[in-house]
Amino acid sequence: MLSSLLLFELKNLIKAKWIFFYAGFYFLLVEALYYFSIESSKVFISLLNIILIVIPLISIIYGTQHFYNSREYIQFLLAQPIERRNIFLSNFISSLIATIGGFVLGCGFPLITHEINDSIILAISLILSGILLGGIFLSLGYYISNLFDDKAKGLGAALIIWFFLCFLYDGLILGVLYYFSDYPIEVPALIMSMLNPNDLARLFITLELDNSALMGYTGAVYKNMLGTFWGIISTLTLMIVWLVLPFMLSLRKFSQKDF
Amino acid sequence: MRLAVLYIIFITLSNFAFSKKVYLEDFSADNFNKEIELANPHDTIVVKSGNIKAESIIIRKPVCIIGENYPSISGKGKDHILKIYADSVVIQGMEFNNSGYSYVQDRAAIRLDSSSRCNISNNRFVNTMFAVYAARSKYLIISSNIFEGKGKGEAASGNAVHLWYCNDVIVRNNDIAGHRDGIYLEFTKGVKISENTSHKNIRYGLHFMFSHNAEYKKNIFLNNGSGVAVMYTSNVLMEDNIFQDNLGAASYGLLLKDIKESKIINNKILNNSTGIYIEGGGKNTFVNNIINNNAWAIRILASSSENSFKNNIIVANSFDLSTNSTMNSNSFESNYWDKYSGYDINKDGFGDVPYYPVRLFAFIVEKNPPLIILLNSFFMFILDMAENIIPSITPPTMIDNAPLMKPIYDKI
Repeated sequence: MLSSLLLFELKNLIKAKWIFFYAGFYFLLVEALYYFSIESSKVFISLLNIILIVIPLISIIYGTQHFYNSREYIQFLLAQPIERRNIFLSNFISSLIATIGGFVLGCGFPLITHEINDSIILAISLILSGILLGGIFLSLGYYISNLFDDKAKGLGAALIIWFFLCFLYDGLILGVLYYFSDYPIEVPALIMSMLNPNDLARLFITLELDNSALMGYTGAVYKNMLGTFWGIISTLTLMIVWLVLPFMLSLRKFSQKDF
Repeated sequence: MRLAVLYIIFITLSNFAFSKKVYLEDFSADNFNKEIELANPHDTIVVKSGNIKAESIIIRKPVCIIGENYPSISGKGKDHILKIYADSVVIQGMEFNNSGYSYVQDRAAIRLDSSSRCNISNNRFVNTMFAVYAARSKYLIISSNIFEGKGKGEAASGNAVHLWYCNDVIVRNNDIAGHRDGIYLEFTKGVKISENTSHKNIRYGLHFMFSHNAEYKKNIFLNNGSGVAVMYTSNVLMEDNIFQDNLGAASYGLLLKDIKESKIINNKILNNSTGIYIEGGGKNTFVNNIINNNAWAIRILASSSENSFKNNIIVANSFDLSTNSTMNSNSFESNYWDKYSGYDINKDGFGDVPYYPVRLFAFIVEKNPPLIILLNSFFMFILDMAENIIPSITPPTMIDNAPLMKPIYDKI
C-alpha cells in the first residue's frame, strides 16, 4: 500500500515541476559561484552559507506547507481502509525526496564534478550536511504542522524555529561565552553547539574547510574532540537523532490526531 | 689582456708548484687520518667509495677532501665526526651519518671553529644531531647538501645548519629535513640564504636571532613544526620565499619578533595556522606577497609599529587581519582583499570606499579565543556587517583606503 501511495505522491511531485526549478536554482548558483570566484574555497564559503540558511528555510516551510496543502487529500485517504502510518510515511518521504533530491541534483552533482580531483572530501561533507539539514528541518516542519491546525500559526512557528536555530542560538552562545570568559569554557561551548543541528553542520564543514584555523591554540581543543573518528560519528549520530526525533513525534501525533 | 694571460699562467703554475692530488684507494679510518696528517696545505685528497667508522677527525690545515660516490663516515657516538680548525678547507661529495645524540655537547657531523673561506658542498648528512656547526667563521659556502635528520624531540635534536658568530656565509640549494631547526643563525651577519628547501623539521624551518643585514631568497619552508621564526634583527630582505603548510597550535608561516626595517617582498604564504605574525619591532615593508588560505593571514600585536603593507594579495583566509589593540600605526595601501565588497566608479582599479580588514569577529576572538567555535556562523557574519556600517569596536585606523579591485594575478 505504501509503495502505491508513494508512487502517486511522486507523480504529483513531478507534475508540479517545483523540484526542477529548485534543482535549477542550485545548479545556476553553483556554476555562477565557480565562474566568478578566483578560489574554490570562496565557493565553499558561499555554499556553506546557502546550506546553513537557505536549505533549512526552504525545508521547514515546505514541510509545514505541504502537509497543510495535502490536508484534504489526507482526510480523503483516511476514509479508506489504509493504515495512518502509511499515509504519513508516503507524504513525508515524497517531501523528503523533493527537497533533498532537488538539492542533490542541483548542487551535489555539479559540486562533485568540479571537485572530483581537488577537495572531494569537503564537497561530500557539504552535500552530506545539506542532506541532513534538509531532512531535519523537514521533519521539524511536519511536527509543527501536526501541532497547529491553523496554517498561519504553523508558518509563524516554523519561521521562529528557523530563526532561532539559524541565528539566535549562535548569539546565545556568544553571550554565554562572553559572560563566562574567565572560566575554561571550551567544553561547555562545544556541548552547547552540538545541541543545535545548524551548528553541528557548520562545525562539521568548518573542520574540513578551515582546518588551519581550528589548529590554533583553542581551536585545537575543538578539533581534537570533533575532528576524530568518534567526533565525526557522534556529530552524524546527533544529526540523525535530530532528524528522527521530530519525525517520530509527528508520526505519533498524526496517528492520534482527530481530523 | 696581458695581465689576464699572466694571471692564468700564474694560477696554472701555482697549481703545479704547490698542490698535489692524492687518491685514497684504500679508504679506512687510519689511512684517512694519516693522509690528512701527511697532506701539505692546499692538497686535494680524493676518496673513492667506502664506509668507515671514525670520529674526532681533526683538520688543521687547508685541504680539500673530495668524495666520489659518497664515501661515508659514521660516527661512533662520542664526539664530532669532523673538526675543522683551518681556513680554506673544502669538503665535497662525502656522506656523514650517525653522529649520535648528546645532551652535553652540541654534537655535529662537521664542526668548524674559527675557519674562514671553507666550502662544504654536495655532501649528505644522515641521522646527525647537528650537521654543520660553524662558530666564529667567515666567508663560508654551504651548498647543495642533503640533510636527512632523524630527530625525535626538540631537546634531543640539533640544527642542520648552525651558525654562531659567523660573517658573510652563503647557504644555497640545500635540502633540509628532520632536524630541530633547519637553518639556525645567531649573531651571524651578512648571510645570503637562497634556494634551500627546509621541510618537516621539528621546530623551525629557519630561525635566526641578532643576524643583521641578511638576505633570504627563493627558499621553500614547508611543513615545519612551528614554521619560520626570526627575531631581534634589523635590515633583513626576504624575497620570493614560500612559507607553506605550517599547521599547529603555535605554528606560523612567518613569525617576526622584534624585526626592524626589513623588507618582505614577493613571498607566498600558504595554508598556515598564522600567515604572518608580528610582535615588537617595526618599520617593515611587506610588498607583493600572496597570503592565501591561512587561518589568520596577518596578526599584528600592538607592540609593533609603523609596518607598511602594499600590493599584497590576501585571499581565502579565515581572518584577514587581527590585532589586540585599538591603537594602530601600521599602514595598509592598495592591497587586494577578497572580502572587499566596494565599488570603483572611476575605473582606476582601486576601490572608492575604504576597506576595514579587521573583522569584528577576528577582534573578539583575539580577546576571547574559545569564540572560534562560532567560525563561519551567519550570526557573526551579520554582526560583522553591522560593524562595517557603524564601526564601534574594531580599530578605526586599520584601514586600506584604496584596496585593489582585482588581484595582480588572475589565479592563485
